[in-house]
Amino acid sequence: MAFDEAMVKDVARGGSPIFRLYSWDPFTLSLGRFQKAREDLDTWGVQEMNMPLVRRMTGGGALYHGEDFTYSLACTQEDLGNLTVKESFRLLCSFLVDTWKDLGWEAGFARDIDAGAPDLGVKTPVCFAGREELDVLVRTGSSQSWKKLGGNAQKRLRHQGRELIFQHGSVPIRNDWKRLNACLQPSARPVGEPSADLVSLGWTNPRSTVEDRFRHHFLRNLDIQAVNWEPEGSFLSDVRHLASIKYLNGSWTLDGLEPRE
Amino acid sequence: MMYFTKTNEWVAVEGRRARIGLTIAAQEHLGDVTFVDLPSPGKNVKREEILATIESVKAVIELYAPLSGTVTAIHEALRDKPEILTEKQDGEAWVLELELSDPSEVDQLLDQAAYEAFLAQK
Repeated sequence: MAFDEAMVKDVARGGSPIFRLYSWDPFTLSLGRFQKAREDLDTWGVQEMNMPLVRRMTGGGALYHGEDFTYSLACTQEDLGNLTVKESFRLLCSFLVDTWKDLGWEAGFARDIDAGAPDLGVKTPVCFAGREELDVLVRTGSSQSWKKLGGNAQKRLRHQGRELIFQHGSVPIRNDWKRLNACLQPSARPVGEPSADLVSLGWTNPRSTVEDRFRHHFLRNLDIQAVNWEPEGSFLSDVRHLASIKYLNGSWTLDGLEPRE
Repeated sequence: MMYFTKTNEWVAVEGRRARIGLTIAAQEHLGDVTFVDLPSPGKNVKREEILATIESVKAVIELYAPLSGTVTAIHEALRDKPEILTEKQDGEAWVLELELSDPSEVDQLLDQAAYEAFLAQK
C-alpha cells in the first residue's frame, strides 16, 4: 500500500502515469479506507489465521488477497480527459470486460446487465459481496447467472496543485471464503459465495496469459503506450518512509488515522 | 449570497459565516455517497486544505476548503445518513459551516452566472 501511495506522490511531482500489476505474499486482508475494523473483524480469527492486515487508501469493503491479480493506477485527471468519477471508472474498468470476453466469457457492467437489481449499490463489509452499477459481471457456467468478478475503487485527491486519480482493483483467481470468513464477525460475513473467481469460470491458463490480455486491453482502451518501469532509489525511499509512518502502524490499519505531518 | 467552486461545491456566505455543500453536478459526478469523514468543530483550515473526505460507492474524494476559517458546525445527520448528500437538492446537501478568517477570499469564488458558464463549457 505504501508503494501505491508513493506512485501517487510521484505523479503529483510531474511523473508519468504508473500502472502496477501485482500479487501478494503472504496472502493478506485489505480493508477499505473508512472500514470499521473493530466492528467488522474477528480479531481472534485474524490472529488464528495469522492474517496480515493492511488498509487501502481507496474505499469499499474488505478484500482477501489470496491468489489474485491486484492492480493500481496513478495518473492525473487531465490524463483521462477530466472525466467524472463514473466516466473514468467505466473507462478504467473496460480493460477487464474486454479481457474476460477474450477468454470466452460473457462480461459487462452491472448497469448494462442488471440495472434493476434491488441490491445494486448496497454497502457491504466485504467488497465481493456488494454490487454496484459499474462492477464488472460475468455469466457463470453452471447456473448461467451473472456474478461479480473482482472489485475496483477509486480515490481522487489534490497533491502539490495537481488533481490526481488513483484506482485499485483486484480479481480473484481462487476465492477462499472460509479463510476470509474466519477473519470476520458473523454479521460481516457474506451470504453464500456471492462473486465469481477465475478458477470457477474454468480458467486454467498460466498467470501470464491474463497479464498479457490486461496489458493489451488497458493500453488499447486508453489509447496509450507503455514502457516497463523500475522504481529508483528516491521512489523506494518514499515507499519505506510511507510504510514506516503510516502503513505499518496500527493507528492507520485498525483505525484509519492519517499520520500527523 | 451563493457562490460556487470549479470543483462543484456551493458556498452560502452570510457575513463572516459560510455554509458549504455539494452541487447537483458533484452529486452526479460522485454517485451514491456511503460515508462522510467530518472534521471536529473548532478546527482551523486554510483555503485549499482538506476539510472533509467523502466516500461514494466507487470513489473516495477530498473536500477542500474553498475559504479559510474555523469549522463552527457540521451536518451531524451525515454520520448516520451520508446519502443525504446525493439525495437532497443543493441547499440541503450541506457538509459544514465555517467562520471565515478572511472574507475577502470570497472574491475568488464563482457567482451563479460564472458557475453556470463553467458547467456549460464542460
